[in-house]
Amino acid sequence: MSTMLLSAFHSLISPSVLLAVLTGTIGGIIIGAIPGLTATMAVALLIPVTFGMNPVVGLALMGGVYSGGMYGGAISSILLSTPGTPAAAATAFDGYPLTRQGRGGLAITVATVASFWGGIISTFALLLLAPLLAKFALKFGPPEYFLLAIMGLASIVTLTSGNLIKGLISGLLGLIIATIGMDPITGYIRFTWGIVDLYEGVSFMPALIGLFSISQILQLTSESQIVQELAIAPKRLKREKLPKGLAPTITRGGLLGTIVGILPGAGATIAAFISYNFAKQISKHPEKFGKGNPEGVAATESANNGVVGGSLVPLLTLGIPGNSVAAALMGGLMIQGLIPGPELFTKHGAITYAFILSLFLANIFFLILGLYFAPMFAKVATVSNAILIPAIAILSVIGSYAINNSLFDVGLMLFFGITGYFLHKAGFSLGAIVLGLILGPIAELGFGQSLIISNGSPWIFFSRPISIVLWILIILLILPAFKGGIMKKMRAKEGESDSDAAGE
Amino acid sequence: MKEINVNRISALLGFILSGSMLLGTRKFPARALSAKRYVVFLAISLAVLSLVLLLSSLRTSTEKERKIEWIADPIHFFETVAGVVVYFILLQYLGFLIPSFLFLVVMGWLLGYRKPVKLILISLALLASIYIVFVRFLAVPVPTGVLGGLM
Repeated sequence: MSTMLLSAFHSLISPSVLLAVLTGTIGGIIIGAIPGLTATMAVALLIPVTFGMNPVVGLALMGGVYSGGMYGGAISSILLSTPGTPAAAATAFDGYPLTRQGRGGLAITVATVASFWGGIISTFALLLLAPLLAKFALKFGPPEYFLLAIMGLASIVTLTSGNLIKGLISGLLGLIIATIGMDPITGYIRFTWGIVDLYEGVSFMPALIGLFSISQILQLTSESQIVQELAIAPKRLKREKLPKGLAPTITRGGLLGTIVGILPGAGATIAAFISYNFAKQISKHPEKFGKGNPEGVAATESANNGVVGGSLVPLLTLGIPGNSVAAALMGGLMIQGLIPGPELFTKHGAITYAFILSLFLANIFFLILGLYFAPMFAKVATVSNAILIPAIAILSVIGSYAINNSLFDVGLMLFFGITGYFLHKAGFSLGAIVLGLILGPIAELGFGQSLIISNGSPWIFFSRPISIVLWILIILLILPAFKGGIMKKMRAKEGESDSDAAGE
Repeated sequence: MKEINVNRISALLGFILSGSMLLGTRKFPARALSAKRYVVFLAISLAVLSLVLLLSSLRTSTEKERKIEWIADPIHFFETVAGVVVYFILLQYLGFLIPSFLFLVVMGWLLGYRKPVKLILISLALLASIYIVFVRFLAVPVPTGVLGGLM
């Protein structure tokens, strides 16, 4: 490991990698600061661009976008009271009141430093935990890989805000779309309707860009401009020093974010809210929360940036993306021929460790950029949708065309974008569809090989010890969501009877 | 449309898709046994989930269900969809640069940016930066169109 770390460090200090991290971080902060645009969209648009790059440069760019994007949301939360990302929603509780009190500079400083430490804590956790988990993954065979794919889908459907069944159907739809084209075991071509471009299957990049980017801009067409103006002029923002006594809150938030990030199914938004509530509960002055308490900003921002490293632990070791940004990042890894799993830490160790180390660098970059240029990023966030929408559409076209130099892929991207918009409106999860599409070939290979080993007996998926553990984990992932749904229905019924009683 | 009706329609579509997949597997040759097994597994799973969705939607009262607002601003929505489709068609003939510039200006105007000179200047600047960064610096390929050199 130490040899690989050393070689990773060497590749990291090359000018192209440093430039990639810096560009990615700036791009991520801007995208994160613009409400309506997400880090997932940015990573999805970037993947095709990184295709021709050295893997370390490409991954460093995407890592920069992920870290910068997670932090950027805080800037608009604090200065515009419109969270740039859902994960930064809780930051506005105390961040915006601070701005209204003329202390926006302090809120920005706290958010930046807390995000930085949250990111550093979680990247350390990634560096220490991921290789251990990857070693364990060496024991996996075809049945376990099939179950891992199912577990990945189970993890993302738990994120589905609405109907759990529709979340599961979404994942299944992704797996079904992935069956188009050649079967990975015998090479039999199915469901292509004679279209030659589909023989090698539905390329996941156009689908990813269409679902995450085009459907998002169609969503934006109903809003002329999400934010109108800054609450404070950039020049009037007074720089303030970090108040004392925030270290425990930041450390707690960073650790909490890391743990929540590792758990598949949870995400940065949940981590930020848990951390905020926890900080409020143990505070000696809970009444100050929501009125401009720097501790509230520190709690949320350290937690949401803590998720970055945490979410990469299951992604890099088991191929399970914990959230949609990680799902998009998985596409970026696959396109470079890097299949998540033990090989990432052995055969491709130098690349993987360089990617992890680049996250430390991204954190340092956004610390400097955030402390000195945050108001400028907030100003960018006020750009009109009339400019944003066509610009993103053009980037989507470039991205979907670039992989295969194919206009068919551009058409496919538009098809997925428009269909994805309506599927999202109907309550289906686009993240689960993409994940199904990415995990499809892995699932099919695992399924097919397992049944060949067992002479067609499905018992193989239930008889091996690791398979049983994976089944338990799948059930544990889905059960709370089912339970939540039942509780919601029961509460609704209670509400009905209460209102009936009141009516009487 | 109420979400409950969408769920019922989705369930029916799920049954149709599942049925067509099962029918499709009948044409699979014997050598593609593993592919057949997998597709059958997916089709059955889809049918089961569609059934659960249908049953749960039949058990719910339609009155309290949320109404889905498919398109909040139909004019801007259809303008954007049409604009993107026309842009895609033009790309095949005129290549990247000219359709992209037209797309930026026309869409900007249609979506409500009413300062023509500023819009043209912003579009030019945006396109120039996209072209320099992506095409020249990162060597990302873009459609050249049947007219070739125009790009």
